Amino acid sequence: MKLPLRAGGKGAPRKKVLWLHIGHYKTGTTALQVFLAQNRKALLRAGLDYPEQGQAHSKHSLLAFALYRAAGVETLMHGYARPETPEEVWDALFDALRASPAPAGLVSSEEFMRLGAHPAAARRLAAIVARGLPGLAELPSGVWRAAGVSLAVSLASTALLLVLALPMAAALTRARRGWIDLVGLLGLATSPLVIGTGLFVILNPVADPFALALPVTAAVNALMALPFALRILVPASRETVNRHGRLALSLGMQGAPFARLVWLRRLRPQIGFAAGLGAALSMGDLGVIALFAAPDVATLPLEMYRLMGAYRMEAAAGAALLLLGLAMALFWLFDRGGRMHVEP
Amino acid sequence: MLSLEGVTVDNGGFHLRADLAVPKGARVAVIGPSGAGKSTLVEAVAGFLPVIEGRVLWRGRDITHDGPGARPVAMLFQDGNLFPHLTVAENVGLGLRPDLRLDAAQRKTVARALARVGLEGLGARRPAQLSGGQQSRAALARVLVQGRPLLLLDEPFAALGPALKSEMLDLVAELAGETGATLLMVSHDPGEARRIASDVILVAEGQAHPPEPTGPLLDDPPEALRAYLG
Repeated sequence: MKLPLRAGGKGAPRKKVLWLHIGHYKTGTTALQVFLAQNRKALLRAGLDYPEQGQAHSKHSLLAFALYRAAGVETLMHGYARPETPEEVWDALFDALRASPAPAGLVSSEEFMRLGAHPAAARRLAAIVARGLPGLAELPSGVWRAAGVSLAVSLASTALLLVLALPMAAALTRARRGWIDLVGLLGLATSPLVIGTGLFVILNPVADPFALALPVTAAVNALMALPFALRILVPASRETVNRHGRLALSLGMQGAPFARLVWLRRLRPQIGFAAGLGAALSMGDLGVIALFAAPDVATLPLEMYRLMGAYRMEAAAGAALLLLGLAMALFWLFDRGGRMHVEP
Repeated sequence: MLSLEGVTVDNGGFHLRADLAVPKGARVAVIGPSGAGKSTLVEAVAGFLPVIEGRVLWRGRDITHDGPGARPVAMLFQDGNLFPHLTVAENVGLGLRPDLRLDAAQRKTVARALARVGLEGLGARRPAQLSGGQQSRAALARVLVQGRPLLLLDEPFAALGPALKSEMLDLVAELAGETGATLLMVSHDPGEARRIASDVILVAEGQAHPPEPTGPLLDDPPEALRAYLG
């Protein structure tokens, strides 16, 4: 049985299909259900979600039991006696599917067979389905979760960028040419996918690359932004040292006091600009994450890409707008923060 | 006493030779044609230029290879004597501790120094909020708290008007008198030298000559100085 979860709105209707496998008893259902549950990740990559929500013993009988109990049926398998209403159980399922990257879901239980014998339970399900539909038209909750992930990745990447770029800029202020310049250029000369693939190959034997998807994305993004950050920081650093170096030396300020009291403060506008650029670059990057991400992990660009792959164009457009807004907001905040209250 | 024993200073290929001594507490003007090496001499004493021959001694201690901050020297440059992003009080406080972690007593010292140079109550301002003369006074307040026995001036008041410049030089002379500091100041102006300097070091043709009393030297200048004075 197939329930087309149709969403309203303009243009072509966007669908997420929820399949109900309803039996019959004694037709190999358990073997099928165990197979589906054990291959959940592979199915998800193929676009079919066999959700954990409502699942017990590899099957989704809880969804049926809740309906029967509400309809007054007393003989239920495994002594089912959970307090949830059918609405709560099914809404939880709909939420899970809404958040899922897959365009289709499948729930399986031979207990659904008995809907034919209990019209009250069937009517309850029909009412629930009719009520749950409009919610699917809104921006999927997966988009918001992905936005949170992207924000965290972007901020971590920006922090790493500054940790790398500031000491390198300080070193480059003294040494005009040398190996540090080349390290900085490494990011510019290669694509994020190449660096990402390299990291994948290196990490694969020692760690699960999928578990490291987000840290690796943040690290590669920081590396990509490094040459730009150095181009921004180094000229300002040279200017600061030329202009204030002698006075600082005559006052015995070399080292940490100079960095803290003069260098960082004079470079604040450039640091803000570089951080803003790094944050925006990382926010919008769809490189490494596409290689590394497990099906249940997504940054906002990847989520947008997956929505497009599932022909959910309006949701993808919404995600794109959110992405643009977040990238611009991050850039503005860092850049503006760096330029506030700056003396000539 | 500051001694330069058989010193050769390297300033990017230009060499300045100096073999001279400046007595403690003296106020010495460094005079000579443009490009003769006046700033080179002062910067070598401050530790910004390498001495490739000879020794620099302060009270018999060899400071030839000490860093600028480790020398008994306070210096005012032609410009950039204050950090524009720090307050006046912070700029002065740097003379006490380069990391600016001042205790209450040190903050009081800063306030006293500001009051001494006529900037009472202006410690919270940024340099850009002060006039040119006030900025010079703030830099002098820092020199005061530094308490270094050797004060080097590389024409820090050149951008001020004549009256203000004289006022600043008088203040410098006063402060040097109060602290007993030895003063070495680059100057273009013989009048300025007569006003506050007891002695003059003539720098000409790659050579810094030993100090001579100001009056007699300026009244009867040697050939090199005469050409410059016109």
